[in-house]
Amino acid sequence: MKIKKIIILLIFPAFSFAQVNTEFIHHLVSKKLHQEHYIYLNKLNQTIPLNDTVQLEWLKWAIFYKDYNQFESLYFSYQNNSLIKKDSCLLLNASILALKQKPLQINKWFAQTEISNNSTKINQLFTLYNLSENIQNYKPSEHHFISENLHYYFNEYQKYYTKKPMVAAMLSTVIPGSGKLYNGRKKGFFPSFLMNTILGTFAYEAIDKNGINNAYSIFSLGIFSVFYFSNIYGSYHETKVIKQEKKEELLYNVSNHYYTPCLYK
Amino acid sequence: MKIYFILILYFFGFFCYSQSQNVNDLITKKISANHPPVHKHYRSVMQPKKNTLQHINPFNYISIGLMFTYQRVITQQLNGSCAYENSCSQFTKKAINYYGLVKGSLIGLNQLQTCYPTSYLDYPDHKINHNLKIKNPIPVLNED
Repeated sequence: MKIKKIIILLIFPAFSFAQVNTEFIHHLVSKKLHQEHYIYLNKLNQTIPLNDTVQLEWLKWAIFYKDYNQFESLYFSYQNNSLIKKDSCLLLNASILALKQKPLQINKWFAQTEISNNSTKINQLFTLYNLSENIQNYKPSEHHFISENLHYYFNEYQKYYTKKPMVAAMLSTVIPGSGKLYNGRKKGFFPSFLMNTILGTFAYEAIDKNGINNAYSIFSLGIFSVFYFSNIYGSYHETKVIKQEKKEELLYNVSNHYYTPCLYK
Repeated sequence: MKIYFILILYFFGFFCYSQSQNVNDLITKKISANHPPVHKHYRSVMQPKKNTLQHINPFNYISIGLMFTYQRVITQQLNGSCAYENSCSQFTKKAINYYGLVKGSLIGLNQLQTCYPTSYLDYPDHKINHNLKIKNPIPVLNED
């Protein structure tokens, strides 16, 4: 009986030491000691088996230091951990990080419908993400939980979503730079128009004075045509880019709206 | 004589291109040394699928090499500042590497046309850095 008691007494401190020291982690986080935090978690990995709590700490670490790639690879390898699925703060912060860092490649994260019912905030975030994927279905009157600030970004994205690259290219062909006006880049119109006009005038004057077979005429005409075509193709390309940019802007503002610093509190 | 000239130009371009790649590799290694990964994790860099002809196209190497020379020799004398985070030559170099010579140089020249001190007013806040320069990575388009 005595021997058993002694053994229990000896084993107890060993177990009590092999726990996650949350206070120490809070201290490391408050002082922003990234490397030390990493070393401590690595040491935990060596001293105790990789249990649910340690896995949760690793995920928190990846989110706090804003490494979504790291988080994603860890999260999908810890699928059996039930503690993660219950932590609404972790899931909310992970969704926000995903929206901020990879707004266009996170279908895998938002395909997990089982975590969307964790809390109202996460549910709203998932709804907003799905709405941004199908922006044609967005109607301001149908979604009452969306704030006025976010309605503005949704309307902006919906407006640019319908723009056609070919129209921008056609406009730039008629008046150089007008494709940029169509794309909403008002400040880009003037320098583009000015540059094309000056180069066009040079080319016209050279051909008018020296004829088309002159070396200077060919050179100035070449330079003008390169800039002219780049303006047309640039407007065409920019219309596609601006759609993604507006989506990114929308998701960025959605993530800012739902951000709550609750990870280490 | 012409063949020798073309060969020299090709190797010069290839040399400059590989030099610029080495610098990027060194920087990435330095960053990854400061932030060691938890598990073995390979960062996926999105690259377009290129065929063999696109890989060995000498014009790509020559134009990227010329951009590299321009950045190292001429830009340092000009003392100019671009409105974009990636300067026009740097952006063109990356765009040629990503999209190919024709598309890449057209996109690069388009940026040159819109490079104006007040251009940042056209962009949303999160696209502008603390030096009021526009963040302009090579856009990876989702062609649906």
